Amino acid sequence: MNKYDVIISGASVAGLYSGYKLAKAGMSVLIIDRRAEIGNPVRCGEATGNRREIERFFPYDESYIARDLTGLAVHVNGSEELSVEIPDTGVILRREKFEQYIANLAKKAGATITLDETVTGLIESETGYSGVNSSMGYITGKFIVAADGAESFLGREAGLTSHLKPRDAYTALQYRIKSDKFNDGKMHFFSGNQSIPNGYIWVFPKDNGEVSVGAGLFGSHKKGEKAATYLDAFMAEHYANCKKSMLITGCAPIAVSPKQLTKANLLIVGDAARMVNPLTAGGIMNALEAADLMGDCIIEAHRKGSLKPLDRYSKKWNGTPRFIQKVFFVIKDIYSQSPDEEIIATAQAAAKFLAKLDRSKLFTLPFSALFPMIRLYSGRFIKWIPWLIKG
Amino acid sequence: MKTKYEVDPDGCTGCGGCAALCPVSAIEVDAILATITDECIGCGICADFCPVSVIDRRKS
Repeated sequence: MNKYDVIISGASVAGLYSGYKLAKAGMSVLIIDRRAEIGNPVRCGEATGNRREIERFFPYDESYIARDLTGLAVHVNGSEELSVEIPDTGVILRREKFEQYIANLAKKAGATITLDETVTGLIESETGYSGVNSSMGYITGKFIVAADGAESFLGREAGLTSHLKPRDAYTALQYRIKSDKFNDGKMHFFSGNQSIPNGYIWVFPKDNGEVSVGAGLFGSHKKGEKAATYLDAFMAEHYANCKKSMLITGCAPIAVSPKQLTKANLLIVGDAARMVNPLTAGGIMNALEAADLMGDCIIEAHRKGSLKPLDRYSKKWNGTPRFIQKVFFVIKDIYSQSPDEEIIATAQAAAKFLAKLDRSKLFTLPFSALFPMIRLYSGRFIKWIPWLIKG
Repeated sequence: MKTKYEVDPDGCTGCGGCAALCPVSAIEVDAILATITDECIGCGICADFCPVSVIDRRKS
């Protein structure tokens, strides 16, 4: 059978979860991915929201949890500037297990998942798109979901996204190491121009006595400047005798999502729609949130036999979720241009902000904690205000 | 002849960052390897950003 209600390109978090949701609602769903195995290779630092946040979408399961995060520490040029305990900071995933868990939910709900196959293009029709061309031939679909990651192949084909601009690309690499150093359940961030300008190094706790040590650079870095150079220096200083295993590399969009997320019956979601936190490059919770919203709209459109309900997807995402992205985009921009002493002040304000953050009310942010930061940066912040309101 | 870039298949992890950045969609990626096609315009953005530094000018 080459005919489905929904064709989803990309079997990662956004694609699998929307596939699960739509199949559960009784639609016929095909999920296609070019990878040979769900979740592998991993392209992720694996930190995400806490148990409660995950349970908004599907059951929390120990199989995909590597470690509970207990707080946050920020080091600037080698000295620990702050260290806060934050209960329910989040979890470190076993990302491949996480994706396999969602894939199983999708399969049980009736979705078909096809691996090691590639979507090669869109087929246009009078009303939008009648389906996709793929390595398996022509496939017809009433709705097409592009959950195909930062490359955003289908989004580009449809003209909803373009290639990632250098200033909007976050590139990173990470090693897994067996060590007790900075392995205390906290997320450790290392910043400062001596350690790594225009980016940060992280050490995240993992299971089996391991830590994930990574470095990432914000876009538009100087020519020849590499995250790997800073990471190697950091490793030589802190983990000189440790064996590196499992190199993970990746690229995350650190832009704000486009305002238009649909074109006729085609919808973009997750990294493909640049739904990433521009400061942390974290995208898992955003992908789930957006896939959930998108799923509701597709189900309604399917029931009513009209594309009109799809408009609600862009409209809702452009409300609070995209505004939060814009706030983090501004913080990222200011951070990446700040001298070290300002980074220390920023980190302290951010820690207060995080400590006061009531995560049960996801969108009620304690803006008062940001005041010291805004005072320090007001000159540079003011120019962003029109964009924050209207952009 | 115009400069073009190529990927050293030995070190490439197939993360696809280069393909996301390529302004002319000249990079094809399967799950483990990126390949730069003849559409390459030689801008070098991919080489600047490659996290494992395996993209360089073509030697030929």
